[in-house]
Amino acid sequence: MAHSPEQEFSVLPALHLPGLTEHQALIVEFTWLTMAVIIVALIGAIITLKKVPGGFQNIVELLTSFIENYIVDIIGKKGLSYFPLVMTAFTFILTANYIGLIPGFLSPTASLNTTAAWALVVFVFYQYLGVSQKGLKYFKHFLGPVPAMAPFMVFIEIIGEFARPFSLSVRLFANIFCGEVIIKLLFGIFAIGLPVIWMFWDSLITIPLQAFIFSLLTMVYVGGAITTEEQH
Amino acid sequence: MNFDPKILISAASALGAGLAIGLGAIGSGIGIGIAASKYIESIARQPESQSKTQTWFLVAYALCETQTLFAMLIALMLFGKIGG
Repeated sequence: MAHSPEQEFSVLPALHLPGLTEHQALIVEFTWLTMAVIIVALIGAIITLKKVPGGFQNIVELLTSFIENYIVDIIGKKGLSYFPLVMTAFTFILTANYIGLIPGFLSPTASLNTTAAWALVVFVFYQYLGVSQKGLKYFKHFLGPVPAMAPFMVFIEIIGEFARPFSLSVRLFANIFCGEVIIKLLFGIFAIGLPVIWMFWDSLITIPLQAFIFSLLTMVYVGGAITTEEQH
Repeated sequence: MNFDPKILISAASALGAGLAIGLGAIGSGIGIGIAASKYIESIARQPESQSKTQTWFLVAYALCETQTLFAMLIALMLFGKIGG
């Protein structure tokens, strides 16, 4: 039962990439595959752009306006300039999660390396935004709300700040990885039936929800970094 | 009498894996229960708010569920040590 990624069945042969194990090389390949799928699908959507949307263009417009509405809700109108980051994270994670459901394909997000990279991008981006928009005042929120408690609060706030990318990456990784392990376990017990029901549940609820939660938390963090205290 | 420490590690891993997932599930079970009860309460009070609260309930649900998955990750890691 012990999970051994090396024995995983994959349709792509593992390349010999320098400094990477076989499993990591496979994850890199499937990341490229995910990017290729997104690029081809979106170029296809752009080429066949119509005034009256139909089919695939409908889905793309639905997803775009869905994320857009949430950004306006959470950050406000000025948050729309950060739409590309949020939408890229959402699209990539959604596609990467769904690719893992096809037998013989691995999810890039079922590896902590991919999710940690995404979480670091978000972390560095919103820290940079906070410093560039508020200057040194940005660091004031590390002192906590009560000035007298500042010497104690500063440690808690700093730990809390660094816990954010950690929980962001581990949440996504654990959800997708455990989903795959559960599918494997169920296939070991039942050939048909229950595993399919679980995959159905996974694809309908867990996968879109995790992609959405990642982009939602990105919005919340970016919004917290650029809005000032007086506006609350 | 010879005592093999590997047996102790195996037994402790099996015990730990069971405890990790069992105790870990308690918290998220309580959390999801509270979220669901409040969600149903809010729908009963304002049925028209369902479309708005639904998303946030699902988000809360996923955030609670994650704690169990962390526990499951630990349990799987311990499971690999049994008999090793």
